[in-house]
Amino acid sequence: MPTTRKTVDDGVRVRMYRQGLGDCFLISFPKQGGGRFHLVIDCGVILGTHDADTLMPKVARSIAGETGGKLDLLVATHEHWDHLSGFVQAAEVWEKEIEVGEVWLAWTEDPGHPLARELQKDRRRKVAHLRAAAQRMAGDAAFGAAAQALEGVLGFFGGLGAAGGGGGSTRDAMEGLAKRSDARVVYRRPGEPPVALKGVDGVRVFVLGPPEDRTLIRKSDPTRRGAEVYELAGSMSLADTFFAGLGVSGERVRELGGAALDPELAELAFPFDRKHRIAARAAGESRHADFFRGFYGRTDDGRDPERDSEGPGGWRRVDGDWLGVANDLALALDSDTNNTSLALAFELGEGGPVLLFPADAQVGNWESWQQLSWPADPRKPDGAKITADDLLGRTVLYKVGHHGSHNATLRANGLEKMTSPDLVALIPVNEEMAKKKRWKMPFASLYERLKGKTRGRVLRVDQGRLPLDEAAKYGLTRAEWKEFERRTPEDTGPDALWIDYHLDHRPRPRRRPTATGRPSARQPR
Amino acid sequence: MAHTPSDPAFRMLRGYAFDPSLSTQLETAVVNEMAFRVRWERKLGPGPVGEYLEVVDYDPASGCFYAPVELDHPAVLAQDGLTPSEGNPQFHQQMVYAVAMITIANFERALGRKALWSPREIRPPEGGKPSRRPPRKSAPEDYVFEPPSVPLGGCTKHNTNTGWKTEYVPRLRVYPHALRQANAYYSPEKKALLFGYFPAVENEPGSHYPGGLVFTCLSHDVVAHETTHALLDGMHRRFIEDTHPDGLAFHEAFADIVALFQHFTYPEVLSHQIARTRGDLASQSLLGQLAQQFGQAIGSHGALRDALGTINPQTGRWEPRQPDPDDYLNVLEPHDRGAILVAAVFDAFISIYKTRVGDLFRIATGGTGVLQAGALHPDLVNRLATEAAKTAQHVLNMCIRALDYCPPVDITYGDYLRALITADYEIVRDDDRGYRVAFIEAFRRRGIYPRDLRTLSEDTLRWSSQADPDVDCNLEPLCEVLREFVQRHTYITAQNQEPAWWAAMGGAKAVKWDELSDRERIFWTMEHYGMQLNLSINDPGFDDDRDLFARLTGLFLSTEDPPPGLRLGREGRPRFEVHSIRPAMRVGPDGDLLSEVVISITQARKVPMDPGADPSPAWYRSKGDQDGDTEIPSFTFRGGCTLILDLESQQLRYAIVKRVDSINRLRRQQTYRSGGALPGLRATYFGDALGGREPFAFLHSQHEAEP
Repeated sequence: MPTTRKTVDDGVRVRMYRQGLGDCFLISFPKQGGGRFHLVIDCGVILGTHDADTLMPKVARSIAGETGGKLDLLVATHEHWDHLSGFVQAAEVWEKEIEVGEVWLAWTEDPGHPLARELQKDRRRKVAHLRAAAQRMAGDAAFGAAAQALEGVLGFFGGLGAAGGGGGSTRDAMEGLAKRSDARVVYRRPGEPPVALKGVDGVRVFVLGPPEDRTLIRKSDPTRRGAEVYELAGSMSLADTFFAGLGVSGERVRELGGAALDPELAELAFPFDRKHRIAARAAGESRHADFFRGFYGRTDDGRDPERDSEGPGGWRRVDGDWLGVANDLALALDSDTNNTSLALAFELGEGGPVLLFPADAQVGNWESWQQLSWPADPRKPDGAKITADDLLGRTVLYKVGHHGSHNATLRANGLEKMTSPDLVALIPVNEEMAKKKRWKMPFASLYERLKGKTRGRVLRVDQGRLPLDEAAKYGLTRAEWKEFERRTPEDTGPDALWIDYHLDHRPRPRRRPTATGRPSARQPR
Repeated sequence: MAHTPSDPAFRMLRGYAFDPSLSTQLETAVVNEMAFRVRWERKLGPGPVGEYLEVVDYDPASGCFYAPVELDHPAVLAQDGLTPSEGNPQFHQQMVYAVAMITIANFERALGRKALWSPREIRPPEGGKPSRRPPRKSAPEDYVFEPPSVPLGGCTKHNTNTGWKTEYVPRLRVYPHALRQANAYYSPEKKALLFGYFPAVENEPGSHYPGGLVFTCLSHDVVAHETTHALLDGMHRRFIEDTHPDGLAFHEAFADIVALFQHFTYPEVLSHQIARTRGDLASQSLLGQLAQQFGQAIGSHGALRDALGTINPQTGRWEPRQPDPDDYLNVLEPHDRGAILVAAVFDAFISIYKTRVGDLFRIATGGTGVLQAGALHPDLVNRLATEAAKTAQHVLNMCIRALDYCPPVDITYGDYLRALITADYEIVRDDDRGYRVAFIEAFRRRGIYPRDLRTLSEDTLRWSSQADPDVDCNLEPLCEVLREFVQRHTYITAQNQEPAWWAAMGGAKAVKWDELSDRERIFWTMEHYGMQLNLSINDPGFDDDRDLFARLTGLFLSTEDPPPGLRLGREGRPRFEVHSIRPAMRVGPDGDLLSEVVISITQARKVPMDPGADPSPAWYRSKGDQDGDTEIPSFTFRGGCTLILDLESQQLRYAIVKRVDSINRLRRQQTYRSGGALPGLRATYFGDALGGREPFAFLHSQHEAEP
């Protein structure tokens, strides 16, 4: 990267907001003939963040201030609270102080898309039921830890869980964006021709994901074999029997935003005829009361949290274990949603460096990029192709997926293909918060590899850049570190709201072959 | 005086040989229902609740109980148990009980002693003295016994010094309908088997009624599999710790091996299958295919699924899978890795079976060995089935018996092979049927062999019978304790007189000795003599021999220069735990009775997770001595040994060692634990919340998740 510039301000600036565990990026490109093109990718912070209701308006106001209240483009990557909460928590600022030119959403949000509609409906139903499960589990002391973990995962869908964060859900946030009156909403599909940014010379956006494919978008779905795709009309699925067992009333489910289960199906979920069942509540009066009391220690249905779950023999009871499957269902839901991430690659000049923003894309999403290609020259559709590998090879800025968890950065077809010597990684993670939630973020070995790949040039939301001696361990020289420091100014105000990364952007003249230097990435290999 | 007939040897209980789905196929319906021969239990209460098992049918998802079956009811006794039926919960209880009891009987037969469940270790309440495990180091006067807290429960030994309690668990709890999911697991924490039920899936090619319910407790193999987990945990409590890619894979594979070979011990099932697919017999794929079907019945549990072979999509025929020597190095997912071990054992079984039936084929074919077209003669079918069943029982016994010869921690497949060979050598010196060769060959073909041997032969694979022949260590003080132990243990049933130590430790106040069950007496006797052994090793009288003993056993017992993080006891002595002592009586090669004892001793170190971190004792002392918040991520690294001691000659016959100061093993565990193997998304979110509590629940449903 040439270091001859006088100031860093006339290039491309990527601003990472430091609101906590969550994504919010403001990218500014110099426009032809002056001015800047501003775009925001996501604006959210994880549920449970301290004082998020004042923090997020600050972030939004900073965006408003920086852009003069005029945002050219707003990208909402997927329906998770840590990416969208700001649109709820700072709704006023977003509505009154910021004008948005265009909103980009993934095709999975498109109400006119049949598969998208199906995914949406399924998701809504499950979120509602799982919330009910979480509430049931929270009432069971034996299941405290697992309930907490489940709440954590459900927190991605906003504040309606039993934890009671208040406010709206991610669905509200997403729908609010799609209905903005000032903006034009565009649903992006992978593999569409590279999109130019209005008024910006030489920058093209490649849409990589989410895959428009039923299998890939569900890749890593733990209940794939569990009759979700091939559900028979009128028969039970695994999820249904589970939800039926929760015994939550239809009203409660509807309150939580889902459709209630057919009572006939609920009866079918019972494994035996009514005549065999001795309701736990009434077991005390049955002929076998002594047996039940002696060996199970209780003859109620165990759903009363007030009841002592310990007591003699209490350690062997299984009142809550069956709820564990909720975790499987929640995980399925969570990774499905992550896989709907709108993954974008910004190319700075033809064949030039690439900024990669994959949101929280997981395995299926990453893998699907391998099937994409774009003609290097739009006028010659059969000529040389640009592939995902080209883009990865030219990546100089990688927004690390899913806050540095191990499963959102593909190894062989991902990080290992980012071979640019200029690679820098931005990690929107707050380790303290992740620890509180008991999540492994950033995942140790991935973080280590990121530091190695970038030679210590990582920027973290919680810790900023690595100190010199730490970065030196990964081979960064003092001069390089100084240069990196120069390019990564931080907000020195009391809120320390952001950290920037400045890149040079010299749009290359179109269609001129590179004479010297490294081979053009457009050439087929 | 009226004539009282003696107890019958068996209780016949009807059940499914496979699982209910096969009863709806004409071809298999005839063999699917069979009567299990279950050992007679005199006191069998409703539930059933017997000596080993208590079936409690609570279905939390449905919020109801199901009435307990009464197997001693004359109407039930007179018709070999209830009629197999999916819609009758009492039959479900009968089925689980029957299969689990047969599995237990197989273990007891192979090991020659009573099976015990792992005891419940109770942590001191919050604010108590922190200590990860109850050290058995404490003096006898530190202990008090508490009476059972529930009817038919076990006593609890309370260590007043550390606050830890050990509760004897007389019976494994079985919940036939505990879960609404395609899962079943053994819960080490609850000492219980939890079985699930779930709606069948349309796109499965099986024969389930789509959308109908599938009960895991009605599958013979699932029940045998889960019971085996519990039995194995009762013998080797540390095997559930995930320290090596082979660890949990071993647990899975072993459970599958027992389920599979237990199935092959029912000749009535085999003969039908042998008759039916006679054409396949020559290619020897028949039994493999059979195993495959069992695997399908196991569903998500089966390491078997693809272990032995697959249906070739082109021909639609089953083809055995070719063993690949690289598998062992490359396959890391626990079920797939488990499959390698199952395939290896199955391969050995096939080879043995082949040598056993070669003569039958020659006799039946006038010496040519080439079968004529058409159905096999029923006599031949029966003889073949008998041979196969006998071979299966032998292999099953070998596999179970090998458990006594495994190291107490950190088992690898290579160790298991060595244990198999050694155990079999000890029982059958003359390997005229080539059993051991068959095993070695089958393992070698899959790349499973210990990496630290110079050659691969029966001699070298056997554990060395003396760790160091030059060491002349006087083991008499230990043998004295152990002889007394064996004496006590052997006559436990006849021994109604209360032992002095039971009274001395306040046991008599809790429960009178003669009111304890035999198995509970055995348990406390083992606990007591384990403690005595511990004291003898620490006794000043053993001072002269302790270093020699350490050299023999690979334990670290010296106060000088202990490896960093080693748990230390009084006076800076390295702590160790006598994990178990088990008597092994057998007839030697010359017909004389050998009296041997198997002893497991373990030691623990607290070590940093990161291989690069400073493992110095200073770190350990400053931060690592407490449970909970350690600044540096750390884990417990265990070492230890299994000793086989001949009480007559006072010779240490085998020392199977995993050194606690091994640098290689520590490195490997550090790498493995700090994420050498990639965890699933579940680990990101639920890593500590659930995975640690129910290792098998996690393992089983995770497999379900794989496409």
